[in-house]
Amino acid sequence: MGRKKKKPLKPWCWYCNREFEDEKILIQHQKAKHFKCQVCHKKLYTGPGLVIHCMQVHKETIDKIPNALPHRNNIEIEIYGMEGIPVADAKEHEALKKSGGIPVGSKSSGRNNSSSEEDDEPESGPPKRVKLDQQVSLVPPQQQQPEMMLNHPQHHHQQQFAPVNAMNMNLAAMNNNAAMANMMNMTAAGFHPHHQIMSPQQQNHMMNNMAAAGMMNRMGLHHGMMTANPFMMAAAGAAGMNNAMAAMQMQQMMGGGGGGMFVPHQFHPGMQPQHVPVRPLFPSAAATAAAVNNSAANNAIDAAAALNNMMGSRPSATFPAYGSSTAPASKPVEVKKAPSIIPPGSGSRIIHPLEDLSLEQIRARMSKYQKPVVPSHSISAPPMLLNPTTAAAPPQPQSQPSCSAPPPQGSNFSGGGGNQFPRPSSSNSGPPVNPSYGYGQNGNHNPHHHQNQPRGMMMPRF
Amino acid sequence: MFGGGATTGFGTSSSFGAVPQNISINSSINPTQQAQNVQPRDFEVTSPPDDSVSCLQFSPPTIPQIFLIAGSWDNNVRCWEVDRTTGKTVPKSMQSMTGPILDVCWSDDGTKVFMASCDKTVKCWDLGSNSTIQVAQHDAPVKSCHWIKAQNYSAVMTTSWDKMIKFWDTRAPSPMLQLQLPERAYCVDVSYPMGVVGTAGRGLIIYKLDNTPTEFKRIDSPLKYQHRCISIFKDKTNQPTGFALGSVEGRVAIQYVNPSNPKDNFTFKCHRSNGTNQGFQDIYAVNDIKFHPEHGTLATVGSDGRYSFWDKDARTKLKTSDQMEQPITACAFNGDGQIFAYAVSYDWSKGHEYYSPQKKNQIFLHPCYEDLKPRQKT
Repeated sequence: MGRKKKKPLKPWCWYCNREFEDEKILIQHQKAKHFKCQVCHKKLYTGPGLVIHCMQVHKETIDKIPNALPHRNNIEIEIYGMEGIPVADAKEHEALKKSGGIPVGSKSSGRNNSSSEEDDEPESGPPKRVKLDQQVSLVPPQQQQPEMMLNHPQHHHQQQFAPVNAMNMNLAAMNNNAAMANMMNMTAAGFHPHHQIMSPQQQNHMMNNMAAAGMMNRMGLHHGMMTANPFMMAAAGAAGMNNAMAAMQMQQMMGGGGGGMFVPHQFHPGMQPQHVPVRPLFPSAAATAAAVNNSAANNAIDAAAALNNMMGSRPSATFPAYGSSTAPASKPVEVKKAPSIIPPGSGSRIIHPLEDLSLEQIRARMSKYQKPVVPSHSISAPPMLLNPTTAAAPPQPQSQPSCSAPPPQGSNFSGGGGNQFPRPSSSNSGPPVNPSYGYGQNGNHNPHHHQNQPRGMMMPRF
Repeated sequence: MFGGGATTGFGTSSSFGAVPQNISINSSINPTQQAQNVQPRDFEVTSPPDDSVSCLQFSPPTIPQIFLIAGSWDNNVRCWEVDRTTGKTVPKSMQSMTGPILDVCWSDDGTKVFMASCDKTVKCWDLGSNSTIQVAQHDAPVKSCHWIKAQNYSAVMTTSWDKMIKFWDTRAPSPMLQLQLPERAYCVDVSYPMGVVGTAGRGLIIYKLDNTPTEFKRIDSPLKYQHRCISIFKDKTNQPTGFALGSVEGRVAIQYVNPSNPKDNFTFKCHRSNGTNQGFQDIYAVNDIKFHPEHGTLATVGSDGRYSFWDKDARTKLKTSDQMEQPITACAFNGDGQIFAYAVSYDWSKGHEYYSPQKKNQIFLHPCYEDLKPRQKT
């Protein structure tokens, strides 16, 4: 009583105004109540995190935080426990507490918080600091590779592939069949997270690519390249494997070193619309083949990297829409005369012709639309150059009705009873409800009638 | 007579402000149908075009009647009158050009229609006399035409794949002014005194149209894919303040010209398949964007055959339609925002192989005033 006690405010949940004894419990509450995915019950760390999860995993848009107060269901605001609460709201809450008011939804802490569903995720992870649609931050680091490859043909710095390659070397020591079997086993064991299914054509093409890349290298490294891209082995069916075998045999026939010249026509960008940046990557792969022959291991790394990129087997699959809007790769594309649209990633495809032209431009090229059609029923105006003065007189309120204009002939478009558009048609076949739709007859309009319509237009039919 | 009709009609039939009454009146008139309320079917426009619809425009609110014009790949521009009580459409007239129509627009007084065509010209259709006359010429198909009514001039602004913007006084054979674009024009919108052009190569240029039209600013595209449609929105004082830009990658960017906060600009995804199809999520082009004239909310239509309504301020989706049989290629709101028109026809997004001339092209009218009300803020 005598002492003024400064009791710290209890942690409270911004979304529902509930108070808790401990911020840990608050965070548990938020995860269970507000950040839990309604579809798969996964518990996310923040509101925006939930939104992104739903968008990416379930392709669903969330427009409000579940179980939140109506004015606190904003999905944009990133709140984790007591962090991120807007200052105004924090002050308001404080004031409310001090004045003795009880915020809506405030209860004593944690009735639901101890339920077993709380326990299925570690609580200690940091909140995901990702923003809705701020795609730049979502691009995984591997996205940078195409550009690196373009700029640095030697690639000694691409250490991230080293582990893969080490494994490759081991495999290379085995004989072909054993290596293949091993690869199959590895892929069958769920080596990669992608669920992409490739068409036989793609597999075929892919294998050809592998063959082409392989020619740059010593025989033993071919396996390395394949294993570097395990997902495609997994995706490949029996046909694909046959192709792979054929390709390897071909390489054996060709020998190790001289295959560089085969690279170019092994890549057919136009034939493979689903390929990830085939075009931009191709020059880099070719350059690699030409430039580097001193270090077979490096070549293998490069080729593996190139293949990885080409096949879209980057970890971007978790960000199907964005992750792969590859900014680096688009640069070379823009330079080209007939650029192509870069598919967004392994998990999605854009329904659009490959050419980066507008649909109208593509369509207008069709011969059907190019032959000039003589208009059958339009009144052709005199060429403006010959007769500029008659062109489009300014609006004349007093001008005569359209009787002066010859009516369109042979038009099948007079479905409304042959009314000329501009003719004041008080006569024959106007809609009975609205007998005067001709210009200049506006006096006949019942103002009341009109006023009644805006909201209810078309309603009677419902 | 045309202008006379328009001016007398103005005011007597203005529907703004009369809206609240209408609910009660209409529901009392027709309580049974209100009560049924089973998945209202949209109204199909009669005598639709013979080929895909490229553009839709309603007559401006300056005239009492509602007319809808549609440009088509069959080289024709059609005009219907829409009865606002019954949703009935009456074909009124049609004009042809010698190439597919890519854009149409109305003059501000509702007396004329401008038609931009692949035949590299723009024609003015005087509705009063039902005659047409050429008013613009380009070296390539004309992608857009917009009527500009400024204090000191009136002009038709045309853009083309010849990388030019031209301003035409409709009575002179040569342009008043022409400006070079960095690339082919792909999408254009004008809301005086602002104009914005999205080009190939993801270019984005804002123009200032008062006095002499000038380039105001070039901005980096907020999107990573080809620009396809663009629409200017206004602020509370009814001044143009930004635009929505749609790309072929099922995404729309909301962009302010002078954002008070960089976070005001954002993008959102749309027109994508739910779930996956053979392991892929299908992403469709955004074919058209239009803003509601009263609510300031927006509609997008896509190659996926759906239309969606959005509240950009609340950053929420208001509604998504069922999927149509074909893509939706164009959409429009009428002057008072009661009617949403959308055209269902093939947009070439799957190439010529999927083009079927037998498939019907349709235009629907959807009563949309309620659907587009902004999300209530509590």
